[in-house]
Amino acid sequence: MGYKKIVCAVTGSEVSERAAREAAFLARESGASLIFLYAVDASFLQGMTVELRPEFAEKSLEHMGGHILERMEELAKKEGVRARGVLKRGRLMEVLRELALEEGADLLVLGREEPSFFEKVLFRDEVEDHVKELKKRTGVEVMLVK
Amino acid sequence: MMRDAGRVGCVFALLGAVLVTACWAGVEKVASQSPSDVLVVNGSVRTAQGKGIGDAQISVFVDGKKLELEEARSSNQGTYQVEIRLPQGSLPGARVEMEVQRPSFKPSGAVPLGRIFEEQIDQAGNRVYLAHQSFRLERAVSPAFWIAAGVLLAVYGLIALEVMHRTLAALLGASVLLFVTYTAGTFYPGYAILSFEEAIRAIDMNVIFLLMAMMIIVGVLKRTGVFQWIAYKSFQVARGNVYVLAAVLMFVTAFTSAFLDNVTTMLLIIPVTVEVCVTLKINPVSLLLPEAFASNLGGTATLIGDPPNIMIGSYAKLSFMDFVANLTVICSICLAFSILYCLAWYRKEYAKAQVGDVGAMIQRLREEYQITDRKLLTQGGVILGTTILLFIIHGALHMEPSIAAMIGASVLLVVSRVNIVEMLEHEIEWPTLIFFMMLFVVVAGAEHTGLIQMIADWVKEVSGGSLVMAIVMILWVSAILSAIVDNIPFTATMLPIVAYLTGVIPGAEGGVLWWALALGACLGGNGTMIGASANVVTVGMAERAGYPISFMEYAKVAFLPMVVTIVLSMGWLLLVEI
Repeated sequence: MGYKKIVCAVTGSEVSERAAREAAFLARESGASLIFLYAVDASFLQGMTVELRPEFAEKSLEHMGGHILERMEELAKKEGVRARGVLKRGRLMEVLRELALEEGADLLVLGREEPSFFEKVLFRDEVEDHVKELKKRTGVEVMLVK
Repeated sequence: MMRDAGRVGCVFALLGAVLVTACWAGVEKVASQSPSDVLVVNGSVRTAQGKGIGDAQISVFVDGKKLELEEARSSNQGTYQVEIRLPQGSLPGARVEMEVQRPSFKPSGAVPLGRIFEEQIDQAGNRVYLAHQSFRLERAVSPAFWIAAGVLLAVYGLIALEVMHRTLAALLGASVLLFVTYTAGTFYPGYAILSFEEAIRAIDMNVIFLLMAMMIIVGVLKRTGVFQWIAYKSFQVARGNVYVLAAVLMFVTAFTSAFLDNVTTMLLIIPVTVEVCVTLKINPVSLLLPEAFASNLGGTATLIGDPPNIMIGSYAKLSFMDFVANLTVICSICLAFSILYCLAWYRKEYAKAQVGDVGAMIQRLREEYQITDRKLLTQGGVILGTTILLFIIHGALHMEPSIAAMIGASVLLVVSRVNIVEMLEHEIEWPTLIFFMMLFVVVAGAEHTGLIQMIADWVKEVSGGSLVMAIVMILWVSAILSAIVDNIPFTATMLPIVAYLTGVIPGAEGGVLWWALALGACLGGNGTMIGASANVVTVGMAERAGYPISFMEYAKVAFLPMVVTIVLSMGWLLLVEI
C-alpha cells in the first residue's frame, strides 16, 4: 500500500473490469491518483492482403477505446475515485512502459485471462515473461488481476 | 561570330553530303534488285491445347540452308507472317522448311511447307507465292519450369507463414523470375521464364485501376460518417429487439459489402456494434461474427464486392450484370440461411439482452453517430450511384469496369474538392496494388513455363471431362483452400486453369466454372478466422475490445454454415447454372 500513482491497462473484457475495480480500490485506499490506459494497437492488420493503413484502423480503435475508458472511469467513480483515461498508440507492453515512466507511476495493474487447459499444456506462458520484462525496464511494481 | 557561321555552314554541308550519298545508295540498291520470288507464309503457333504462343522464334530453311530473317516471331495471339525473297525461278521447286522454337516448349523441328500457291506478279515484277503453316508445340520441362514452380511455391509459403510482408514476397518472386530470364536465360534458353514485355502484359491493369478507384470512392465516403450512421439506424429500426437488430445488421453489412470493400465496412461498423452490445449487456462477438459472415457473403454477390471477383471478372471478361445474374440470387439465399443460423446459434446470448431505455439509447447513438458531412455524402452518394449504373451498363458499352470506377472516382475528387495528394497518400493502399501486380507476374511465370497447364490437365483428367465433376472439384477445392490460405494468390493461379477447363469441358462454355471459382474462393473464406480479411479485422478488433476469439471458437461458429453455403452453392450451380 501507500501508492501515489496507479496506472491500469484496460480493454473491455470482464477480467479488465475486475482489474479496473481493483485498481480503483487500491487508489482509494492509498489516496493515489488513477490512470486508465487503452492501447490502440492495430498490429493485427499486418500481413493482410487487402491492407489498410494503420491510421485508419487506429482511428476506429481510438473511438472504441474512448468508450471503454469512459466505462472504466464511470466504474472508478462508483468506487469513489476520479480516474483519468489515456489513449496511446502502440503495443500494450510498450505503451504501458512509456506511460509508467512519463507519469512516474508506482503501481501497474493488468487484467489477465486465465489460460485454458490446452493453452497451459501447449503454449509457454508469455504473460509472466512480459511482466518480468516490464518490472525490469520500469522498476515499477506490477499487479496481475485474474 | 564569323567563325561560328563558318562552322554551321560546314556542318550543313557535311550533312547534305551524307544525305545525298545515302539517297544515291538507296537508288542503286533498288535499281540493282531484280525481280525475285517472294514467299509469304502465315499461320499460327499454338500449344497442344490450342492456346496461342507468343514470341516464338520462326526459322526458315531453303534446300536445307537456314535463311537470315529479321526477328521473325509470333504475335501475342500466336499468329505470325514471314516474307522471304528467293532468286527468281526458285519456287515452287525449292524445298522450304520451317522451324519454331520457344523456351519451355520442345522445338517443332524442320517442317516442310505443304502447298505453295502462286498468287500474282506484283508491280516490281516479283512473283508472289503464298503458303500456310501452323504449329502445335509440346511443353518441355525445362529448368525454367522448375524455377517458376519453385518461385510460385516459395511466394505462397512466404505469404502463408508470414515470413515477410506479402507484397515483398510477391515482389521478390517476380524479380527473381525476370532476373533469371535475363541472366541465365540469355545464354541458355532453357532458363528463359518470362520476358519483361510478357511480365508487363501479365499485369491486369483493369484489376489495378478498379481497386484503386474504389479505394478513392470509399476513402471519400468514409469521411461522411455514413457507415456508423447506418449501424445506428439499424439499432433504431430494431428498437432494442436483439434478434431484429442481428438480422438487420447482417443484411446491411452484406448489402454495403456488395458495393464497397468488406474490410472498411467492418472496421467502421464494429465500434458501433460493440457499443450497442455493451449497452445491451450481451457479448459483442454474437453480433460481430454474423456481421463478418454477412460481409463475405455480400462481397461474393457482385463483380466489385471482393478482390477474387474483380480478378475473375476481368480475366474472363464477365460483366457486372453477369455477376448479378449468376451470383446475387444464390448469395441472397445463403444470406437468408446465415441469418437464421446465427439467430439460432446465438439465441441464448441474445436472450440475455437487458434492453433498458431504448429511446435514451437511440438518442445517444443519434448524437454520437451523425452524418459528419451531408454535402459530401450527397455528392458521394450521387456519384457512387452513377458509378454503379455505369457498372450495370458497362458490358453493353464494351467498357472495362475499371473505367466506370475511374470516372466515378475522379469526378468525386473534382466535385468534393478533396485534396488529391492526401487521397493518394492516405486512401490508396499502394502495397496492395503492388502485391496484385507482382502476383500476376509470378503466376504468369508458372503459366509460361507450363506448370499451370500441367495442373489444368490434371484437373481435366481427374474430372474425366465431366462438367458436374469439374464444378464440384473447383467449388470445394476453392472453398477449402480459401478457408486456410489467402484466396487472392489462389484465385490468381486458378484463373488460367479455369479458362482452359471452360474451353475444353463440354457444357462449360456458359461460364459456370467461373461461378464455381467465385463462390468457392469467396464463401470458403468464411470458414476460419484467417480465411478472409474481414474475419481478421473482426477478430483483431474484438480482441482489442476485450473479447478475444480463438481459432477454434471461430471455426465452431462459422465452419458449419460455410459448408452449408457451399452445399447451397453447389445445388445452385448444378441445378440452375447448367
